[in-house]
Amino acid sequence: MHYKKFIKNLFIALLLVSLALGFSKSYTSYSIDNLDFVLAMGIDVSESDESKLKVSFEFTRSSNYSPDSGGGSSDDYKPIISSVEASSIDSAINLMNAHMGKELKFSHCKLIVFSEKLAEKGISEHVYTLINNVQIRPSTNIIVSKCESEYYLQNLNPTIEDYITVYYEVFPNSGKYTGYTTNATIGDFFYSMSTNTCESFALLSGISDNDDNSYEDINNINANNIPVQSKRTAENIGIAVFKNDKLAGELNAIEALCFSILTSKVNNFLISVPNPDNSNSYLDIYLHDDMSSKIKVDIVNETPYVHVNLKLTGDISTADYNSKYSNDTTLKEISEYTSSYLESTISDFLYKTSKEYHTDIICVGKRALREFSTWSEYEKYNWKDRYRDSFFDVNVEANIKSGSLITET
Amino acid sequence: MSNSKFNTKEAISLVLVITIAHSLLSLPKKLLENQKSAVILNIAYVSILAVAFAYLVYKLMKSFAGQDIIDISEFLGGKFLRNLLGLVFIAYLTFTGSILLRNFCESIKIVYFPNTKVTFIIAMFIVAVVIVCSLDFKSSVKTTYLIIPIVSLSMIFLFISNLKNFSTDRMFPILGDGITNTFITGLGNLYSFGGLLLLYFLPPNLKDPGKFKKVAITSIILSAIYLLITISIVLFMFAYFVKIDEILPLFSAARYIEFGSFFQRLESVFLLIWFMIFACYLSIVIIFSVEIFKKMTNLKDSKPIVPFFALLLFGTSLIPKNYAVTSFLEADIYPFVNIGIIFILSGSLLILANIKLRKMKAGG
Repeated sequence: MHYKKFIKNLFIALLLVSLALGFSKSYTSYSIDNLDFVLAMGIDVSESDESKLKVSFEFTRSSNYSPDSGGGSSDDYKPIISSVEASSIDSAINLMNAHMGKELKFSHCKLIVFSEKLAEKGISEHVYTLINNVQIRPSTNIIVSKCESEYYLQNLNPTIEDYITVYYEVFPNSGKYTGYTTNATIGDFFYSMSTNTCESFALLSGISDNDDNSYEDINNINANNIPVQSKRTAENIGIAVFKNDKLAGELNAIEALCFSILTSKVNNFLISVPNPDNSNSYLDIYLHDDMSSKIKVDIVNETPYVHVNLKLTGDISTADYNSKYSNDTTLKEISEYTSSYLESTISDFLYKTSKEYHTDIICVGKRALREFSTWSEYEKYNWKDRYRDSFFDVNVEANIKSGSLITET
Repeated sequence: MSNSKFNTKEAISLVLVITIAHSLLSLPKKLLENQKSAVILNIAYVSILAVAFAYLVYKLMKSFAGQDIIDISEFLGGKFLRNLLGLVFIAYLTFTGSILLRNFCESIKIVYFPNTKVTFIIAMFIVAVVIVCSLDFKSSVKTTYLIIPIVSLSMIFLFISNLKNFSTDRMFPILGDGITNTFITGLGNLYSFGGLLLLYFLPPNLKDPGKFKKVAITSIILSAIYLLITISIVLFMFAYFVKIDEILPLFSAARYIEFGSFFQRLESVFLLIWFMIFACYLSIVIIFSVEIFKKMTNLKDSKPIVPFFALLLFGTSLIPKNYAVTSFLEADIYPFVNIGIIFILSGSLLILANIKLRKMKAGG
């Protein structure tokens, strides 16, 4: 009896040991001592051979998380960036693994930066490779940099945040209250690239060369000429527009705002409209949408007619010595100004993306699906190519309710 | 199992666990691939038919109160038919259980254990299942009954927390690939109700055999609701699964769950829950295989043969050369096997047995 029990226990012990040994390889490879955490990755065309890639990896020291080190504060933050040239992303990772003597881990990678030059050549192969990597999360932001991706990462230093990771996580979300940029993720990019209802987009960035800090009209502001003087020269403003997997063009700040409004990616935003009482001045108005934009598509004689309806509510934040924001007539007049200003700006944006870039980044194609009863009809229609023939009817109903704290002076 | 019969809720959970286990792997993407945007319409349609079929099974088995399909086959064609059908069912359970086990383990290997041999991952499940089944069959059933609500809640949570990523426009064009594909060839999607198989074995194992009708109808309705939720998640989030074959679609959906920067990476919790439900599924497969074998051989004690069936499952799951083969077996062969055995073979056997019974009654 004892012998039987002994055999049974021995068997169980052997089983447990063999299972533990079987899983030990995976445990060892995930041990923190054997890993280097990548915070951002830059992908560029190699300078020496255009068929090769130059891949840059940004790391952080584990001591940067220690309170004793001062938290790696923004003042003394120096990015640790290493680059390697290789034929593919995976072989670049492999070479960097060998160089670092540790395995690169991408589960905390927040940004993937493609250079404009590479984006123009097409990035589908790289996006598929990245999405195929279990460690890369679909929420990782995708950026197109107007300069070399490595140079951009070197200049993307947080100005006030203690931790670079916090800054990387927070800055793409600024689009929620400005609309001048957007939270473009690799998951969304991959989705848009894989369907026939949408086109892809990415966050646009660059190095600001505006040394004289001169005034720029909002319609001209993009990632290269934002009129800000700051320690950080890397700027993230505007949107990179793709046709299939190739960069088709870029949207400036105000066009990015139109995109954000139409895709409900902005919660509230500020616009400047000409002052009806004084043509030389502008009124700043905070707006938010009462409901998500309504986009309806009619197919008339094989041509898409896109109806856009927006309902916005806002307050005037500008105040001067002669403000009359409690007057109903004034508010009505400002509302009409705001509506017509937005109608024309959004209309220009839609025609620019369809006629100039031939790309449906706001996913009108998804709304057009209702017009077809079967997939074969939709595929036969070839939405992505027909979008360029679209006509747009934009209707904005802005309701300016009051001033802010001061309604009349 | 005779001295540890199931109550109604436990029996319902047994039927549900089959659908749940299959929905974790390629079932949603295969349905989406077949039906495209009409998948919800098609699932609603086949669900009605599945409920009708469950009712038909109840009606056909009503005349054989307290007997399962093995007993009925003996009545119809003697011991030969009983043993033949028993072997077919054991082969079916081993086939479905092993390909699902291999596929699930291959997926886990890719996601979490890249450097571990798949044999060890499969062995982990087999050891767990052998221990559970060796204790008492009833304990597996009770565990399943406890885990089903957790899985159901996790799926509702997955649905709600991904609402912000949903695009309901993806259910258009409403007819997908057309009326014929949705309503005629789409009939084949009845295979997604694999739990129907257990209905053939439940009557002798129910505490209250009078509630078989309730078990049959309720379990299929709940399976249909569960399927609709999982399919909706995949359809509204990733219409691209029509074109792209990605392992574990629900795992991909779980990766999108984020509540601010505080709650992220919840997919590991989902995977843990799915580990549990998968172990339950395997134990159910072994329990019913053992019970069928017991009936075929008139064994008194079935527990000693549990390790044999577990090893059979283990060995069979290692036969496919790679993930491509198991994936092909699960996505392309399993539906036909399911339709053939659950609907055609078992259904016609019940009909023939009823005809024989009527003739016998008529003949006095």
